[in-house]
Amino acid sequence: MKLLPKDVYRELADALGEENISQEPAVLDGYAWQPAMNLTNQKWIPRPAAVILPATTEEVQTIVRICNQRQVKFKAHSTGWAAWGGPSQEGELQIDLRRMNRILELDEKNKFAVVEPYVCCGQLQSEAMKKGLTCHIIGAGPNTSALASATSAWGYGGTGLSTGYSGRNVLGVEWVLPDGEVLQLGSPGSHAGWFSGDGPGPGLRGIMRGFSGTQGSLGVFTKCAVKLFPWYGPPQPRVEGILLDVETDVPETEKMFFVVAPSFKKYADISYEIGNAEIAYWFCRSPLNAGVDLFMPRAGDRLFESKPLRALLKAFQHLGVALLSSPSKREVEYQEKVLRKITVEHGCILLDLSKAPGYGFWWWLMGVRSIPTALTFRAGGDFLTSYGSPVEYDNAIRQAEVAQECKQKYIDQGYFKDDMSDIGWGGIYEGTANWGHCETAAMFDRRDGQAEGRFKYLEDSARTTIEHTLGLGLSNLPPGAWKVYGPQLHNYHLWEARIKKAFDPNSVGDEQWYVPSIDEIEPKESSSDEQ
Amino acid sequence: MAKKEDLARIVGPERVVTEEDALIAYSFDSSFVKGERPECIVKPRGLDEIQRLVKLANDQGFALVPCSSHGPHSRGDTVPTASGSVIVDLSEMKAILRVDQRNKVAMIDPGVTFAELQTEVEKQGLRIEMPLLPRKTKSVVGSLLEREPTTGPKYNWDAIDPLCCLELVFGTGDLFRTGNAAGPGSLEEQWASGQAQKMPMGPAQTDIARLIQGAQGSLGIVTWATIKLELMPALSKGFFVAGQTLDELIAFTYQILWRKFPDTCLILNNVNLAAIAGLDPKDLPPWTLLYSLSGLTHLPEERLTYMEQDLAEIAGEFKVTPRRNLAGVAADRMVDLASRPSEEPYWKFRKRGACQDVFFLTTLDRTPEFIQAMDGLTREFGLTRENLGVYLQPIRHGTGCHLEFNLMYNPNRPEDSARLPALFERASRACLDLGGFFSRPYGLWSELAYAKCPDTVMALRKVKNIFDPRGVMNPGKLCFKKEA
Repeated sequence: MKLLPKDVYRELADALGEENISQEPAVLDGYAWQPAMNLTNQKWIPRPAAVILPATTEEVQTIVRICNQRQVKFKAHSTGWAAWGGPSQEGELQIDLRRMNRILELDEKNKFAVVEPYVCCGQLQSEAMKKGLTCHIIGAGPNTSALASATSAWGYGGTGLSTGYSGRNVLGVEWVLPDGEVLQLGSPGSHAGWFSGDGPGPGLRGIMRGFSGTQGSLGVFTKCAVKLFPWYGPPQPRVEGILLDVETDVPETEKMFFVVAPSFKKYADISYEIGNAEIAYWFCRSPLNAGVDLFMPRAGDRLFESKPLRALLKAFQHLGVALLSSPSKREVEYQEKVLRKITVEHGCILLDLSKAPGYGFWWWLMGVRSIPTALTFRAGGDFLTSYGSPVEYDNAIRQAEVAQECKQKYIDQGYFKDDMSDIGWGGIYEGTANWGHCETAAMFDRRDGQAEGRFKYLEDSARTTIEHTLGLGLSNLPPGAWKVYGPQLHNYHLWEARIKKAFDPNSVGDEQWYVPSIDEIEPKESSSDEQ
Repeated sequence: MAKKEDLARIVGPERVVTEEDALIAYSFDSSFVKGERPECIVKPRGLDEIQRLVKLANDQGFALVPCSSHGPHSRGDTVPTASGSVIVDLSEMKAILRVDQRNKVAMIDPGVTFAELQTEVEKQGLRIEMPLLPRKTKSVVGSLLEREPTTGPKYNWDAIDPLCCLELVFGTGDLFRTGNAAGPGSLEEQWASGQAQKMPMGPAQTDIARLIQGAQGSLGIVTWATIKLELMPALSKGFFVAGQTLDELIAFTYQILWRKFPDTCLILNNVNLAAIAGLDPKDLPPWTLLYSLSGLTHLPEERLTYMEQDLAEIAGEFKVTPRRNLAGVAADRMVDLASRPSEEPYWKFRKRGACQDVFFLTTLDRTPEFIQAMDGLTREFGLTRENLGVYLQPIRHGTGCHLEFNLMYNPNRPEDSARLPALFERASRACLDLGGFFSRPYGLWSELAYAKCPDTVMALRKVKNIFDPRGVMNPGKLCFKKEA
């Protein structure tokens, strides 16, 4: 186990206090258990050399400066979801931002909130609801940091039709750069409030993140403003029970439906129609077999063994969940009428869930909270995800089709749990925009020792993504993927590597999920620069 | 200094303009930005020529000033700062390369104007979200690269909208495509797979389009862009809400934005409303909210009916009265006017012949503070209230607001021309001091705005050094002054 050099540890402890730094083995092991997207054949990710807990931007700055002076790599995480939140090699300092957990501002009129890194989406949503607002919650669930997906990671969520995509919802940002300088993006940098993230002049959000974030490679985000969106439900919903056993009253002006299409093509068609009609609070694909596998995995195992039951579930493969929401009964009635018209015109089936058992459960966990926390771990203990580029929805649905075929081969070989293969979830986002995503998770048990086969699946999914021109998806951006895709995409990796060098001259930010400095990729270029 | 014969070898001798009148016309505009006479004007026809021009500029060390709209220009961003500059006039690159009806997106050259694009996409039942009555010669790409606000906050999710993907040549001469246009696959392969280059993010972990937006041509030259379109409504109804005070309109506007009802949604004072509609400001209330409701593909009448009923209730709560006509002008006509480029003369010039704009971002609830300050200043400078236009444009679903003051003056009146620069500077400083965010810092504003954010300046200079290390792209703009 590689620990921090004693003098570095002492310097950090002196700066932040003994109580806010640790290299106790048991504590460090807690940080090394990150099964999701751990794309290695190890059960654990590398153990950090120490963990430190800053409480302020100034403390983060102090840590980063010490890391620069002492040549210690660091990796920050907020709620710390998945392998990208941890170090990629031993000897790194884990910056745990859990003490920075305040909602600093909630601007009801202008619909945004300023949050610190450890504010989770569920917490923000609960406060926002009291003001008639809600926030975007990613598919990883309401336990995730609102700041992390906005600044540093991905950002798909079921309610995206009304709440967009995390990376596009960012307003002002406060950012400790890898060299220890603080950069405030947009209006906060000019002491004008937090309502804008772009300017003056070029939008520096463009180096902060693209479709994905840099997963902590370019410093530490200490505050950010995120857009909030209208919430038409009750300000403080009454919810009874916990986890998957909850019940609540659904307001009269919220209505949920299953929309079942006969084919991939028809499913895409109704998605376009729903977006164009400007109805629905969310519309998201979720094949019924996926629901069975996630919510009742043991029963699912039995059901999937039965051919007639498989056939029955297959009939609900092209299933979307639609939630209509408004403060006005008139509006919901109008939306329902249009939804019914669209489904009939496209030969689909519409099932009104308001009469179904567990309606409150569905509404709360899916419609409001986006998705029950950590559900994807239930079926196999671990999972990986693939495809899922942000793209026009015809192409997104094509991804589900290609993924189904690709994944089935690996289910047949025993690398993944049998879930009938197509569990591609993802919706249409941003109202009328007609874009969305569809990603395909694959469930497995990490203890089975079959990691090589799963890597091959990831390679295969990335290969088929390219072959079928399905965008740059989640399976195209694991560590080192830039070596393959950079040259195919205008050498984007070289521009990122130049940014890395310019903003992280000592390469102290863990670059595993981004790119190394240009010095490492093209040493010739950097030496000619110096001349 | 550019060698004209080398430029001519790239674009053809007939596309290198050296006439004195033409060059002088580029050495200034109606802003207060002082500039240099360019060496010449080149009119490239496409990517290859642009790329060769940028490489030549790097080799020979001259500056390029990209310009995609025909004049008259008014912000100073196309006025060369460096001597020996070459204007890269893209206004004749006018191809509408593709319109994808299903995905509601168009791919266009940089010289395509709003009117040209609107005419084309209307044929497919689509429309473009546009700024408030852009001048007829305004390039769509130029406008969106400058983050000019559009009139429909409902469709404005992010600051970059409705700009999607770009093809561009960096200051290094390298070709790049942003967002999904980067690949994988050629454009043709992407089209065949159902893609339409609509997603602006990326590629990967960087968002180059966002860097290019707002750069005033100082990082590269855009050779085409894709633009997000919306459906042309089956039915549309416009409404006015008149207000004696701004506050009563602001509260109502927040509420209707929360309900996501209006398509067009903006507030004008009587001076601007009169200038656009051809009325006398004295016949109008001090403030007017203009909004429209639309019926879409399915059950359009029913959509309008429920919206009108709901809005009537909301209006009652807020004690305002939506009306279909104001001072003899139908709101439908105003919505139509606000959805098209301005007729000549340009609407801001109609009253007095010239206009200087002071604009910035703030939030809707803070706008009265700025307006009060500006009222005081214009009085101090002897500019009567009838010559001060005010335009409030909620942006990004109402999370921010573009606030624009239009100082209308007679350029042929010496006292007007003499006091305007001082008023402009005082007004700009006052708004900045009050917390106005000058996100698009032209001319004088660049000095004022960047003085407030040295951290941003440092970061931007690093970015400039990456994408235009020899400083050939529109030098001297933003925070990229010579001393940098």
